[in-house]
Formats: sequence, C-alpha cells, structure tokens
Amino acid sequence: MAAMTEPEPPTDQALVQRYRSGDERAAAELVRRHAPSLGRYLHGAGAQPSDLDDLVQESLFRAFRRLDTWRGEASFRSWLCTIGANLLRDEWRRRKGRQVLSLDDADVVDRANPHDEAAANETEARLLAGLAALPRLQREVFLLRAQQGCEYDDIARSLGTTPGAARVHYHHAVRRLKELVP
Amino acid sequence: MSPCERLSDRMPAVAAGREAWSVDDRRHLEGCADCAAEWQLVRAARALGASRSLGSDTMADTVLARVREAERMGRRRIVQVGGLVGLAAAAALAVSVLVRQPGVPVPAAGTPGPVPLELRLAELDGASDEELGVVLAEFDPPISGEQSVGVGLDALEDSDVQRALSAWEES
Repeated sequence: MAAMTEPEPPTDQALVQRYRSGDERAAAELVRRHAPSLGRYLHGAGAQPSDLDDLVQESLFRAFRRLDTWRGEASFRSWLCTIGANLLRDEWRRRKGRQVLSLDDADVVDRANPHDEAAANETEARLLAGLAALPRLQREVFLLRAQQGCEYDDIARSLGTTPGAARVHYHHAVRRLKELVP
Repeated sequence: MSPCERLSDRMPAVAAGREAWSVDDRRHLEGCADCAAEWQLVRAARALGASRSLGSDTMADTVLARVREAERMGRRRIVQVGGLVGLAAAAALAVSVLVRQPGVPVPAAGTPGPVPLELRLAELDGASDEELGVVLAEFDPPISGEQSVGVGLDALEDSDVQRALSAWEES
C-alpha cells in the first residue's frame, strides 16, 4: 500500500486566485497564515503593542482592497509587510511622532522562568531600541530579511529597490545594530 | 563568497528552521565574533514579538466583513455617479440642441461673441469634486471640433440621440 502523504498546502498565489473567484475561505486562510507574522513585523518596526491588532487588521483590509495590484512578483508576505510599514509610517505622521510608551501589564510577557523572562525582555527591548534608531529602509530590510526570512530578490521587489541595494541596506543595519545592541 | 558572507546569507533560513548549520559552519561561528554577533541579532529578530498574542481568531471575519462593506459602498457610489453622468449627457445634448440653431450667423472677428448659455443643473449642486470630475470626463468634444454654432440637429449621430434618450429614461 502506498504511503499516504499530506497534500501540499495551497500557495499564497493559489489562495489569492481562489479569493478572486469568490472563495472567501481562501481569504480567511491568508489572514490566518500571515496575520501573526505581520504583527511581529509591525512590533519590530516600532508599533505600540496596544495598536498592533488595529494595524494588522487595517493592513489586511487594505491588502484585500487592492489585491488586483499584487501580481506575485514579490511574495504575499513581503507585500503585506510593506503595506503595514506604510500604514505605520502614516500613523506616526498623523501623531506627529508623539509615541506614548505603555508600561502596563499587557506589555509584560508571561513565562514560567522569571529570570529567563527578564533576560528575554531585556534583549527584546534593546533590539527594539536599536531598530528604532535605524533609518527606515535599513530597519525594514533587516526585519524582512532576519525576522521574516525573505530573500533579497523578494525584498527588492516589495520595496522598489534592487537585490544588491537590499543586501547593502541589510549589512549596514547589521553593523549599526551590533554597535547599538551589545 | 567569503565564509562570513556565506553564513550571513544562510542565517535567516537556519533561524527559521529550514536549514541547519554544518559542522564547519558551527566551527566558524564559534571562532568569528562578527558572525556570532550577527547570528545573535538574527535569532533575536526572529523571536521579536513571538510570545505576544497578535491577531485574534476573529481577525479574518472582521477583515472580510469590512471588505464586503467597502465593496457594497463602492457599487452604490458607482450607481449614483452613473446617474449623474446620464443626466449630464442629456444636459449636454440639450445644450447642443439649443445653441445649434440653423441660420445663426457666425460673429465677425472683433465683435463680441454670443452670451454663453447657462444651464443650472440642481442635481449636480451636491456632487463632490470627484463626482463632478467624472461627469466632466463624460462630455464629448464639440462635434465640429471648432464652431458648434450653425450646426443643426441633423448633424448629431443617432447614437448621441439614443444615449440622451436613454439617460432621460433612467434619470
């Protein structure tokens, strides 16, 4: 008897095609697949924790409204992250750069070992502070590459640059972060 | 490509669990402070926000409900603007019919031209700039391309007349 293999999950492109044909379950699968990563990306890009759900939702809404502009040259993930980053930038401009740092309980991650917890929080805080100090393009390239695992070609297409330039931005970001995040 | 560049290129894939370090890679990481520091950064970036609850189970339902609502509002706006366009087309035809009377002499050079005909369209008073732009875009250029005075009703195409009649019926 031939071994039963799990069917390959549909690609993002296939899901988009199905949604365009009227299958809303395909859209729901895209949201489930990408919302958590988008949230982590926006968190790394400097979004306030209290704003994350709204930003993720608005980014997804805008993506689905302009789905006809996504032709698959860049990955759905990187295209979505670019929409989110632009939304975040617009939000900052709207607030004129006034960022309120919230230190309520919602920002404290709950884990079993308090000591490891504190160390993880400190590392995350230092990295977030370092990312905030980077120029926007370096920050976005670094997050798309290191956090999201996107290839340079993909990053270049979604950000409107070249793979070579994306690689340079990444290495500049790494060099700067090494200084800022000991 | 140097060993550092090669490792740097592979770090995101290893951090994501798609690839693994070879024995040589691990040896290099242990001996190269730059690569070790970059690897720490990539792992920290990968872990950013991983423990937070981002996105809710109802996120998909909420997003799709908003998309459906936005599409419904968009279709309603198209119908409203379409009605305005039909009315404007009919008005344009009416203006053409009124000013194109046979036998009207063309003013001589230097003499003041005829007083422009004003036609109030109350239905357009409440239209936004965007809607007015759509209406204006529907106006055809003058039939003669130069002077419309002196061109009679017979010069209009049957399609122009039909379009105006349809617009009157729909408005």
